[in-house]
Amino acid sequence: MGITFLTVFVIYMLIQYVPSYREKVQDATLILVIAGLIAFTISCFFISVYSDAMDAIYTTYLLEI
Amino acid sequence: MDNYVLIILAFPISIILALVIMLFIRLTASCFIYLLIIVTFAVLVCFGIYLLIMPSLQGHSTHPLIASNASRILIAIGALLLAILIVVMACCFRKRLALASSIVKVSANFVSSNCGIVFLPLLLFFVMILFIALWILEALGYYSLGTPKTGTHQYPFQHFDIPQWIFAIGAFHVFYLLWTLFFLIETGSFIVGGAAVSWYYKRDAPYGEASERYRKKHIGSVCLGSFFMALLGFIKFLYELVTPEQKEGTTGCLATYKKFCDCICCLCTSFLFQWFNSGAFSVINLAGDSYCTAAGRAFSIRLNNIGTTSIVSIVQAVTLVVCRSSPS
Repeated sequence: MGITFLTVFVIYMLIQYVPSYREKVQDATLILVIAGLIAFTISCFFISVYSDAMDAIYTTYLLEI
Repeated sequence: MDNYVLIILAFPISIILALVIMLFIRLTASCFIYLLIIVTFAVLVCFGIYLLIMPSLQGHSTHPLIASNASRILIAIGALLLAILIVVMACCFRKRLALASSIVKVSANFVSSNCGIVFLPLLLFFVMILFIALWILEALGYYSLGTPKTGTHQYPFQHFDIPQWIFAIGAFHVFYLLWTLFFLIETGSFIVGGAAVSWYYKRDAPYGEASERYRKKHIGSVCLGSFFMALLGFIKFLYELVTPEQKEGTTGCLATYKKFCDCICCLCTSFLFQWFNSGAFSVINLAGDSYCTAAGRAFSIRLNNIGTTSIVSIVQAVTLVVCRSSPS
């Protein structure tokens, strides 16, 4: 499961099950879209470390063999 | 007000989830790929069997594909065949998969032994936000250089008539935004890649060495790499602007430009160029070559190992999809 989906799911659960949010939030679509965008951006930055490291290690391996 | 709290909550939630998923990759690095293959195989087989042994679905489902008996059996056979195909592919490419798995494992080891490096992209992200705020201010400044005008139905702020030369500055301003954003992204890639290479050769301070190498020798290479990325982004931006105005049967320069852009898009140049850039930065970090020489070397070495490179790229894309729901 992606970080984006999980974050949106957690926010959706908060809206559904926390009484104060359930009463006040009429339409959750915009909040979920914004939360999804934030989560996607953050996940891109965190996971890019893995992606860049994999690229660098693979190229190093190819140059070594 | 409560809505803002929910949006702000998205930041810590996604950061915590990112850390949890990174920990998960670290713990399952050696078997991560095999785990994904097994899960995919199991899901496809279960789905196929479920469709085959549940004829009662016909009565309950309203979906036209599952409601029909023939379609249900065809979908089930398709799912089972796909499961078998995945197993056959995994068996055929087991050595390359083992290599890809080792690369995931080594990169997970690198990230866990240099935890601090995770904060570099996050720092660059905040720098980017500050830069975008500055860029918007500059854009408003250029807009205000026009002649003030008033209309009957307009938004409640001062409107201006924009002469052609301000539009030209605006185009340059968009390019400047793209170049700077790509420069910040590629800076992160260069330093992380450089730290990974230094760590691979068991240097004492991989991150310090990589950032020093970047600051003292290779900012120009990163600038050039990000310039090409920005140029590609700018061509795409122009293409998006031009395309909606295209009419059928348009001839001349515009039609030629559209065909040219279509060809470029078909070849997925941006994806290829990103791939090209990351290889170039790794070679620069290893050998200290100039950007063009390093890019040429990285490209030829990857082309000579195209089979292995493809499998590693697929594994990398699948890992990214699992982690963040996007392949690149």
